[in-house]
Amino acid sequence: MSDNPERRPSGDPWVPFGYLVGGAAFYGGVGWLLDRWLDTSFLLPIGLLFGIALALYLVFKLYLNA
Amino acid sequence: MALVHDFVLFFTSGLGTPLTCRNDPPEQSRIGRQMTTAGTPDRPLAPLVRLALVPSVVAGLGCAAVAASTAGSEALWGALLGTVLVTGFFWFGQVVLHALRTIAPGLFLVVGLLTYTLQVVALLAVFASFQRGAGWAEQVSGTALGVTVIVCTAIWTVGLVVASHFSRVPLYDASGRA
Repeated sequence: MSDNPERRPSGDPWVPFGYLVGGAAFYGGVGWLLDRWLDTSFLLPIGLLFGIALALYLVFKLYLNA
Repeated sequence: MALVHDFVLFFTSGLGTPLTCRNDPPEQSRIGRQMTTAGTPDRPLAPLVRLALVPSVVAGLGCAAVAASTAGSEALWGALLGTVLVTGFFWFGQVVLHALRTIAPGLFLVVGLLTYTLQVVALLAVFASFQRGAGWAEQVSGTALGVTVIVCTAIWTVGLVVASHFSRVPLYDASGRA
């Protein structure tokens, strides 16, 4: 649809989907493992929030550069 | 009906490309120009701050004052925590949606819904960590937290509806960037 085919990959909705789900799953998982290792309960939400924030930063950076 | 119409426009204005483009017939472009507004406001989040964020924070601080005077420090911490959770949750979502509408409007729906889903998951994780943590129940009043969350959410929702009712969202892109 676009006049410039080189910019088409930036419109792929699976890219931000992968960033967001992957970031939340990875850093949430790291937080959960640290919670189990250190016997704490607050690292899972911190990991989730950090993963979401980092994924959104990468999405915005990607589309600002495009 | 006008309120519902404005409310729908507020949440759907960034979902896709504008309805007019440079290749439209002259008559259609003329109609499109007539239906445009003068332009997007310089600070589009300002009404939301004035009508939703500030009243929610004020209401949360009011809840904290009442809780502290009636039930002590546990209720104070519960009310403050509820205020931070509600305003942080909703404000983060609005900032992300606004940035998406500006940077990548074609991804507004999928990234907006996904961000909201992950926010709810993170909120559930926060409350689960409260339940698992042994010291939380002694330091934070669950009743004060719950009441403050309900009050701040209700005030934020009313403020969001009022802000969207008075906001000016252009239906067409007069700059021809489509």
